[in-house]
Amino acid sequence: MNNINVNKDLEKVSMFSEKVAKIKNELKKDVVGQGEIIDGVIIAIVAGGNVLLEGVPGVGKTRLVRSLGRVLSLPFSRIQFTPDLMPSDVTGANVVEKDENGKLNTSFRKGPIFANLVLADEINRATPKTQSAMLEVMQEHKVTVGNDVHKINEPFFVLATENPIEQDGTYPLPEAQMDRFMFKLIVNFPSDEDLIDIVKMTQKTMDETASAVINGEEILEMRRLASEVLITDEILAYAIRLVSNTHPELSKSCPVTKKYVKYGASPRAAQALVTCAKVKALMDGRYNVAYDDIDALAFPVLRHRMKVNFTAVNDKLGVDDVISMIIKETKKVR
Amino acid sequence: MDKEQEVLIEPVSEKPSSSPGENMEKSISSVGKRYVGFDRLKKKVTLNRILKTVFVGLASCYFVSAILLLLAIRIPTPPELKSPLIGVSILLGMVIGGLVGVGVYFIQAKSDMGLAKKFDSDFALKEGMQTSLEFSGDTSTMKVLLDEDLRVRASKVDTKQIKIKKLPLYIVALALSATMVISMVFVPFNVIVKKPEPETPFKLTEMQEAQLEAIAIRVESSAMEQGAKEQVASEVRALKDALKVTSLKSDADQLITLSTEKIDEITRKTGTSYLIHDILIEDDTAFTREIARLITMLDWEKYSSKREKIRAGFEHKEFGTEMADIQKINKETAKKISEASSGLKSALEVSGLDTADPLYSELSECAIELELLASDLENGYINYLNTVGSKEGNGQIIEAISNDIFAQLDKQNQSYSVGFGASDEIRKMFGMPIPQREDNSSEEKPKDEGETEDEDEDKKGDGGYGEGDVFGSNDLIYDKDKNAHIKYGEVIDIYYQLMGSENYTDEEKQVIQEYFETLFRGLEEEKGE
Repeated sequence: MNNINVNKDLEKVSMFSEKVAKIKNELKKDVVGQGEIIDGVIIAIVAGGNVLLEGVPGVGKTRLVRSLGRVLSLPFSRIQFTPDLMPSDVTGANVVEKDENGKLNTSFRKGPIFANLVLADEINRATPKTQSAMLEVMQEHKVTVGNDVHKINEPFFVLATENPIEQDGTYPLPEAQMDRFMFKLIVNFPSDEDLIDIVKMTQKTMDETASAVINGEEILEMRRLASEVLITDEILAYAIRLVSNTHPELSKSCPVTKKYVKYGASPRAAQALVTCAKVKALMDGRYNVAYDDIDALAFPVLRHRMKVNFTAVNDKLGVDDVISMIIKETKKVR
Repeated sequence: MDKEQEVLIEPVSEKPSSSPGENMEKSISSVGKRYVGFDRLKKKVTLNRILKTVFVGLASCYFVSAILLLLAIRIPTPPELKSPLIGVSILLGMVIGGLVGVGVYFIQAKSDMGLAKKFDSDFALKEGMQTSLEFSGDTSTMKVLLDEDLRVRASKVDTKQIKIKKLPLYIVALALSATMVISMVFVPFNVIVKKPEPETPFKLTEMQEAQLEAIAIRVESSAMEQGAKEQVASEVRALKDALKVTSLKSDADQLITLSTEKIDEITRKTGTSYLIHDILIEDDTAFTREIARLITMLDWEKYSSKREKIRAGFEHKEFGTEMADIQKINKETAKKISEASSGLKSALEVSGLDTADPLYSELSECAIELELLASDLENGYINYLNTVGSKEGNGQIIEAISNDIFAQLDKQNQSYSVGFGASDEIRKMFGMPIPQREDNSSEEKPKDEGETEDEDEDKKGDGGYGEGDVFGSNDLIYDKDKNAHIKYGEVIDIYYQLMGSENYTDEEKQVIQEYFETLFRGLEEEKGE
């Protein structure tokens, strides 16, 4: 084994935790509390996935994403989705321009999607057509306008927000688009202590003071390192079994699933679980994935990819409750 | 997971104790190597497993032994079976205890992966050990870091704290089971006691008393050796007196047995045939042993039959066949006779017997005669047929084992018949078995085809003429007047001489005829017996 390479890698691994700590510390300057959300967002970004943030207005979703953009020193853009937003408003369009000689030329004017970090605010207010435009970009990291294909620079993340209470005039995200989000994080109302801190902080200034501590290349390097974290076949099988157990149509799924689940998560969920578990392990200072990592990440990975049926609603069980029960059942055969 | 074995240790902190960068050299040096911590913990777990096996095995052994011992002790059995049963119980307990112990050992056995999972769980290592084990051959950076982290964590584990769960329970179980075994010492045996058979009473009748006295008187007036007959008569009277005061049959039987055996012993010592027999029967040579048996034959019939068997032992199987080589037959037969002679001679010489004893002398003479026969046969002076003879005709071997030997036996038989007759009569009187006097044991030897058992043969020698039974000239007949056996051939010669003589009148010849008829009637009487 080449000692020089080992030493280099060891250094990088040791820097990983430091970088994560720096990101968190900077974000704390602008965002009070929401530790789990911050962790989830960092995990998703390092893993290379998109995040859907759901929460009531004013809990700091947009502020978080903006601060994140500054901390990561990534070109950031914000798209406020409204019902009249067109796809070209997102992706950009060809425009006809007159040059200095008066000749008419067409050129592609890039849309706000051409950033490394995109905040898609209130995504569920846009029409399905506009949502589909987002879908292509989120999936393929490129925009096709006419015959031209325009690639998005890496790293590319979409952090979308949706407001759960405003159901009028919203278009629920289709399953295909939901599946593109690695995580769905529920931003809860801050605790009283956090709220006091928020009020105190904003009384002084509303400015966001977090500064850049990491760049895109470093994020890509972190992603590469995280992919090397070790995972045993047994834990891998556990993750897959967990996702399989969300499908009621499968004979092997547990009784809870058959009773409460309408449809289960896609194979992307299994990929997301494993990828994010590796990141989480490394963030926790470990070099191998543990069962607890899978269990902890099951909620943000699965909650938007599966749907509960009326029986669950009737029994006053939310999707997280059902996920919890499925985890318990799956653990029995561990 | 082994639920029994609880690891009593505080979980190690989830975060590594030191950053990888600080232990970079250690990390690199641990590449590809199995972290020491696992083996150290595994050793402790194995030790605990062995200890638990011993506890369980011993406790099972003691417990099963105690149960089986209780059964062995309390189930009614004859006293002689108690010790074997106890031994079997202990042995069975040990076997079962051993099997249980071995079973426990292997049931507890875990693979390395199983142990790794256990350690991960007990020490909150977040599946680190099992991951490291699965990626044993991996030399990546992550593997290096993982192993280093585990090494640090595992080194903090004090193996002394890895204890057997519920150890006090095992100790108590062992103590209890041991106590059970020890307590069996105080359990009383339950044996089947045989009820004694009711004793048969005994009372000497007047008739029996008179018979015993008659026997004593008969012995005193017999031709038995003086000293011996006094002893025998005295013994008979002593028996009579003892039986008069005996009330139980078992005691009476014992007295009778002792007394008759003593009488037999006294009787044997009146002659030398039994003494010589006891010495010669131990000899290595088969012929000598046959001679020993021969001299225990108490009557002519048996003696004659035995002698014929001895003669038949010298017959050559090739004689009379188409491919017979006469010279070879003669040579081999001569050798056999010579060996027989040497054997008898040597046996007599080393016996320590009185050489002046008449029976001893006759036997020595027999050995010499046989040696001469062998020499003559080998040199061709005589032929095989003359030497060995056949069932139809006596050979010279018969002559060598001469009637004189029987004559000596006959003399001794006079005392024997008195003494043995007395003891046998006593036995018969009280319903006890009569022992065999003659040594009728036989040498095991392969028989030729067509050979028949000698016992069923006509014991009288063939020869002579006439209808009816044929007597050989060497057959002996008993002459009451002479109180001795005389050869038939000699008698018949005398008969013919007398009857053919012109010196006697018809009346005198009639007397002679009657005399010989008396002799022949004796023969018939012997036959009838």
